[in-house]
Formats: sequence, C-alpha cells, structure tokens
Amino acid sequence: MNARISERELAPNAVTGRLHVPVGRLHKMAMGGEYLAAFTVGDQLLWGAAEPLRRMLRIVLEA
Amino acid sequence: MKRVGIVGWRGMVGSVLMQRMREERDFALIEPVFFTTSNVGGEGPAEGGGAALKDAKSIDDLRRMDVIITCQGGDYTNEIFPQLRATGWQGYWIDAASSLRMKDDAIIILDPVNKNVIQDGLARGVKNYIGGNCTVSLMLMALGGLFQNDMVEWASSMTYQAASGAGAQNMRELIAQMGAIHASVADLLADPASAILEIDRKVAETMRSAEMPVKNFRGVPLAGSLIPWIDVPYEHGQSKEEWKGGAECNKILGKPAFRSAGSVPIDGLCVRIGAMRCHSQALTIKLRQDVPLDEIHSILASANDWVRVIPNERENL
Repeated sequence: MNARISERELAPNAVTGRLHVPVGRLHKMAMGGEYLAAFTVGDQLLWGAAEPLRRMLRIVLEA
Repeated sequence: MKRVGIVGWRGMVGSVLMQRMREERDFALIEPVFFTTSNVGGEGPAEGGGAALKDAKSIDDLRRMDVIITCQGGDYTNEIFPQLRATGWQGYWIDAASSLRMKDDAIIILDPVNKNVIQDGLARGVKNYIGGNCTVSLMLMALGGLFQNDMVEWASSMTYQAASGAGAQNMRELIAQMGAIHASVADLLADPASAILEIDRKVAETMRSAEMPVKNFRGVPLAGSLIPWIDVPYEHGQSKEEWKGGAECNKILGKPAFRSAGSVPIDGLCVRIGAMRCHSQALTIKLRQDVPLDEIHSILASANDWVRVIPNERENL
C-alpha cells in the first residue's frame, strides 16, 4: 500500500501540528501545457504564523 | 547575549511560538524578558527564570530590549510601535500582526523563500520584520520553487481556510456547532431504519435555528456549511484576505507592487471551511513555458526542507 497518497497525505487531518507542507494533485490542465493545477495544505499556526518569527530571531542572532 | 522581549506569548499564536522555541532550544541563545498587558508583576514562565512579568505598555522597559517579538495583535502594534520608535529605539521588531507588513521600512519574513530579501534588509539596516499572511506564507512554502525560478506568469488561489485564522473563540464555536448538529439527530442516527431525509431536514432546521452557536462567525454556521468571505471588503471586489495574496506575495518575493508592471498577478477567492488549523488551497498556475511535469516535481521538491510533493494518485482500497 502506497502511504503517500492524496486522500491521506494531502488533507488538514494529516498536517495539523506538523511542519511539512504537502503539495499535490499536480497535473497539466485542459487549457494547455502552460496551465498547472496544484493543491496544498499547511498548518496555519506553524508556517502560517509562529515559525517564521522564531526563525527570524535566529537570523538576527547570527547577523 | 541578546535581550529579547516577548509580548503576547499566552495567546494562541504566542503559545505555539513558545512551544516551538522550547522544542528548538531557542531560549538557550537569548535572555528572554516576558511582557504582559493584563498581569503586570505576575510570575513569568520558567524560560525567564520565573521573573515578574513586565508591562507591555511601558516604553521604558521595552526600549531596553535588543529584540522584541510580539504576537499581541495589530491594535497593540499600532499603539506601541510608533511610541517606541519615537524614542530612537534601534532594536529589531519581529511581529506576527499585519499592521506594518506593507510599510516600506518593513520586510515580510519567510526565510525558506526570501532569505535573500531578508539578508539584503539586514544589510540596509531595516529593523522591522513582519510575519506574512498565513495563506500567502503557506502557498509560498509549497510553490516557492516555481516563484523563485520566475516560472509563474500568474496564479489563482482558491482557499479552504481553517477556523483558527479567525481566532481561538472561532475554533471553539466550530466544535460547539458540530456538537449541536449531532445532538439534534443523535436518536435518529442510532436507529438504522430512520429516513436520511428526515435526518437532513432536522440538521438544516438546527443549523438555521436561533439555538445554533454562531456569534463568533457573524451569525452564520461554519460546521456543515462554509463562509465564502474572509475579512473586510477591499478593492476591485476583493476581500482584504484576497488582496493580501497578491500584495504580500509580490513583496515577499521582492517584486514590484501588486497590480503594477513587473508584478505577478495573484488572485482568487478565500473561503472559510470547517477545518481546525490547516489552510488548504487549490491553485491554477499559468506557467511562462510548457515545462514537463517531472521537472516541475523536482523544482518544487528541492525548494526547501519542508515541502513534500505528493503523487497525483488515489489509494486502491
């Protein structure tokens, strides 16, 4: 069984409380080869809020 | 060791920040000083040696910090930041709130995507570093590879945004709504012979009734439904949340301003759904060239350490 599959991996249930950011459903759309469909999920409180702040602190400390 | 003032550490975002700083042992590298707006003199967290909490509105105490990190919210930033800078304070201001994001003397921080913009800002003496809108940051964490390689002519993002973006009370209310819906039909659900349309009728009746807990969602249910509008109306028919997608994304990438020549048009609809804290987005991306899909996979996957490309497949059960 392939565990890395869209229904399991590409949903809020799989990502809540985690730092990884899955992106999938990737395919060229009916409009043509320059049109790409994608679906992505991310934890809004981690990369969407807290994580960039603490990483900026680290960058300031290294500067 | 740098003295780092931390404001708003007890709220939802602040609590997640504290948890992550503990996990990554950030506190070992700094001298943390904890501030409060509601409990001045109270006992601070262990990371600050239990020292008494300082007043988050005391400009004298704040200006002794080398760095201030705030998750206290936009009203606090609007009130305190100008007073603090007016004293000539030269420290670094790191802020989760949106108040200062689009100011010329502020940089939107998402270092896996725009480390170059941040480093350039530090070299130029920029002192204000502001976290981006959550949906924008998450889109760029996922698709940064395409944007960083300038492969995107335009993009449309249709979002499925969690209750947490509206606040802690909204997360609670979402669960309360789910409970109210279930309670209204629990007896019918328990009976395998009950009619589905009767269950459906009672659910709809409950969701439209005065008993449904909806005050935090402007009077409409999220559970069992959705809310196709986030934040206040802005320009061109966009909500402010939708405007942020284009405005902040271009600023993060160091591009010309949204809707000006040389910027990447990014637009779409932002919709609240009944997830707790994960935002999802469905994207239509117009590429500058017809790049093969396997090449796109490798560009996306190698952009940062956190993105994971998921095969476009569904499990055979």
